[in-house]
Amino acid sequence: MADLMLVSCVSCSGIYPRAQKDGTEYYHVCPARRVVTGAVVDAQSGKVTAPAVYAAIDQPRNENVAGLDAQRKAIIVAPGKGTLAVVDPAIIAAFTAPPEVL
Amino acid sequence: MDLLRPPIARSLAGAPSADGLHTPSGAYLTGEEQLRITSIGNASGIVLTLRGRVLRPNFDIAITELPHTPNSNRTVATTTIALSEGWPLGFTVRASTGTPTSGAVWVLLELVRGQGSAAVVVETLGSGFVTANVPLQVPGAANCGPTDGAGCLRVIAGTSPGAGVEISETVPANARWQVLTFRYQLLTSATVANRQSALLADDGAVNLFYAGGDAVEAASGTYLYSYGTGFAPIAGGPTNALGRSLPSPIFLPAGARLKTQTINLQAGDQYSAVNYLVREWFDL
Repeated sequence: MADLMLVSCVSCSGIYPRAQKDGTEYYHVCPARRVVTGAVVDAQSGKVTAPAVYAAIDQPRNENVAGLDAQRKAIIVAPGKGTLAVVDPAIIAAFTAPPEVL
Repeated sequence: MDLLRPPIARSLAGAPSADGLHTPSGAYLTGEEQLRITSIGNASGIVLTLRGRVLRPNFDIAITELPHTPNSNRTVATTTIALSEGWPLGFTVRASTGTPTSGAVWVLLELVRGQGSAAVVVETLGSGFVTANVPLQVPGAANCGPTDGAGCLRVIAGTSPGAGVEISETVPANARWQVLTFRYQLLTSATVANRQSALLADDGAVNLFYAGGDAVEAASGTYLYSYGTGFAPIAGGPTNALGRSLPSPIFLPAGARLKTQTINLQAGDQYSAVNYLVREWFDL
């Protein structure tokens, strides 16, 4: 499955394939926010003693097609901070490995 | 009179008359019309070939052949070809390169006059989905719009988000999805807190439904969450394999999102193995 061509979004650190196995393209859209500090929960009562702290994803990427340029090449909605190719075999294996290990 | 060729009503100018004789087709091309093929597709590496025949006034049959490459990003692609004077006998379109799945490429055939954006449609010949083995044939095919039919089944491997980030999958532009299944894995960090993971959908602003969210996943856990329409919750199985039901049917427009919402999600928690099955149509 190495031909899935995994990339990592620099804006949100998400990892995804450029194209699906059936030849369709995949358009990544960054989520809105990340957890900086999770909620602090009292182990005895289970109650939240300090709320979670979130940070918005800086320069979110949106690969959906906004239109076509003069050469009819797709223009994406927002490039964000760009992407990097994933070359680490461990990350690739983790992405493509079946998760049914219970 | 040539007995092998049926009489075709013709005026002195060469165009058919209305004398009640049979004509080879219901349309007559004056030489000013062009055939326009419009397509929309979601897969790359596909080339369509259109072939057809036109019976010229001198009884010769002109063969038309036109390659056309659909875009792979659900944007419209068009190709036009001039047609000779005469009667169109029929056209057929199928994928000649690539093997698009059923519902991946939709085609519209029209007769137009004029060029580019100034072209005026004078007749719609037909429309439908095509594959390498299933053509669009006009005349004869029942017209099929881009939101008709069984749709295109797609198995999608989604984004594995960064640590401390919820899953968020967006319906692409010009697509309409029916969600069939959705699954993911949540690996919780050692930070003590009970997480509760739910799947929800919104249109970008308004929440549409909320499923699951009842199971508790403690720290240092690895849980698999599966959602499906008409799905009964799994009972008696492994405690870290969870099944929850989705509303049925669910049709989501372009821009709608499928997301997780996790109570007590921690910065070191990691979602992964996002895989889902949808039916897709083109919403033009």
